[in-house]
Amino acid sequence: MTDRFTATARLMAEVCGLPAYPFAVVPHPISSNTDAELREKAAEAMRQCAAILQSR
Amino acid sequence: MLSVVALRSRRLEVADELEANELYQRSGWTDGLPIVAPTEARVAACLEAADMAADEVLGTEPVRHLLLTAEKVAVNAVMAGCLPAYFPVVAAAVQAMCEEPFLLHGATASTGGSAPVLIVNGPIRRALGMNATDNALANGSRANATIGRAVRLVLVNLLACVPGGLDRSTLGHPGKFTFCLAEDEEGSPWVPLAEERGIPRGASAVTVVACAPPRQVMNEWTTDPAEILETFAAEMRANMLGYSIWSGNYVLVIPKQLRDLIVAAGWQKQEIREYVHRAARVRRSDWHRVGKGRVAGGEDTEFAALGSPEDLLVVAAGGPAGGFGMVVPPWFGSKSRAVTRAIGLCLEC
Amino acid sequence: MPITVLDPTAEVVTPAGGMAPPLRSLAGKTIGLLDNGKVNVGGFLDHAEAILRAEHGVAAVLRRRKPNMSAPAPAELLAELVACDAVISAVGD
Repeated sequence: MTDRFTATARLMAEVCGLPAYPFAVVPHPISSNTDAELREKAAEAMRQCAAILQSR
Repeated sequence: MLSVVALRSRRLEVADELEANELYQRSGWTDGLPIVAPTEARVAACLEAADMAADEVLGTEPVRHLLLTAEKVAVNAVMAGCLPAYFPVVAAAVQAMCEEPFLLHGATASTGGSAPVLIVNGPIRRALGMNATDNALANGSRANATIGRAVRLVLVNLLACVPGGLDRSTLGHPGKFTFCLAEDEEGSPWVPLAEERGIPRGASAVTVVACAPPRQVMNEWTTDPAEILETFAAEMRANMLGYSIWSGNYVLVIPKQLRDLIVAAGWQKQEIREYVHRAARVRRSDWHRVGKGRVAGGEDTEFAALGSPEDLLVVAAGGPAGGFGMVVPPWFGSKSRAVTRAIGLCLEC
Repeated sequence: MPITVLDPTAEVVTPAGGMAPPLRSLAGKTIGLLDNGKVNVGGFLDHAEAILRAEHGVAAVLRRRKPNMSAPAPAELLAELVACDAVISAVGD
């Protein structure tokens, strides 16, 4: 998600009984980004996702 | 008399009414305005007025599977300042919002900042002293103000729709404090909204619509109904280009001065709907004129504000003088649909 | 004069959820990518897919898009994604 939505994500995680659920966060916004910006954010997001999916 | 022992909410002890308000403000349980302390007796009186058991489930928020009980809705209705007699309207509005077509989670959590507008029909309007004339969309009537406010407190406290939390509204609009109006059935020869939407004549009902901020129009210079409605349609086109192009349930509120002219020309609500359905249309290329050229590419499709004439909700309300009207656009296209619910009456029984 | 007032909130006790076990590696895995339907997410996920394949050795990617960005994903769509080794849902914006 983008960094403007972390509070909501935290709330939903608590509602689902997983208060420590980890997320990948990139700078806001997405909808007005250029393709180069999307590529950069995707790289950062996949770096975070890889770490989350493989962490103990 | 409902036993207060049957109420299951956690009890809190406070020094007095003022301390109750301070506690609830600190706890984030209000809309920022002072609340009425929800004592056991006041809550029980609401349930009695609606002939509901405390644990009756008024609805379920489908995404998070939250149950909305009559007791919890009554606690919030008392806080809003509702008298017990108002509670059946609040309960019916909550039931309507929990029906699937309303899309409760999306409509209340979205960045688009919608408010539920409540439109009340039937004898209950007179019984509760609801206002359908002067200042119809705003302040003045205790019933209008507190019934609308009760719905907001239910969203805040029972569905965790707190700004910055699950309520992601970027801006919101003032209708989120309260937005409840009654139709001026006595001042209009038109079929009342609820009756058009399937409620038997003589029954009371509430229609809920997830709406964007209302937009006022003015045309005091013609007696031609087509020209009057063209002004409404123009405002709808402006909404389509400036806010959201997607079709959905628009509400038109038509006060007496314009209504009399439309009626004199022999137009009923159906003629109004058909005219506006034809007129409230834009083209994709129109986006270039409003700074949205970047997404205007592709085929120059035509977009209609209404999927069908029946998507337009026409309401007779407002004071006697002034060639004004109100366009109340949908929150976001047809994601949320208007729902009408009978008050205190089981239609399937 | 003290008064007794009632809690207006849902007072729901949420049962604790369970996390899936971590993957030892992304290499050779099937990753689901869920597009929430907002503008630019398709382009974002195109890059994400390329990076997962090229830099993390992901073997297969299942791309799916929510039909309604304001409602939960339909059950059939979720059932397809659950069959993957992991799912990335994008982008809350």
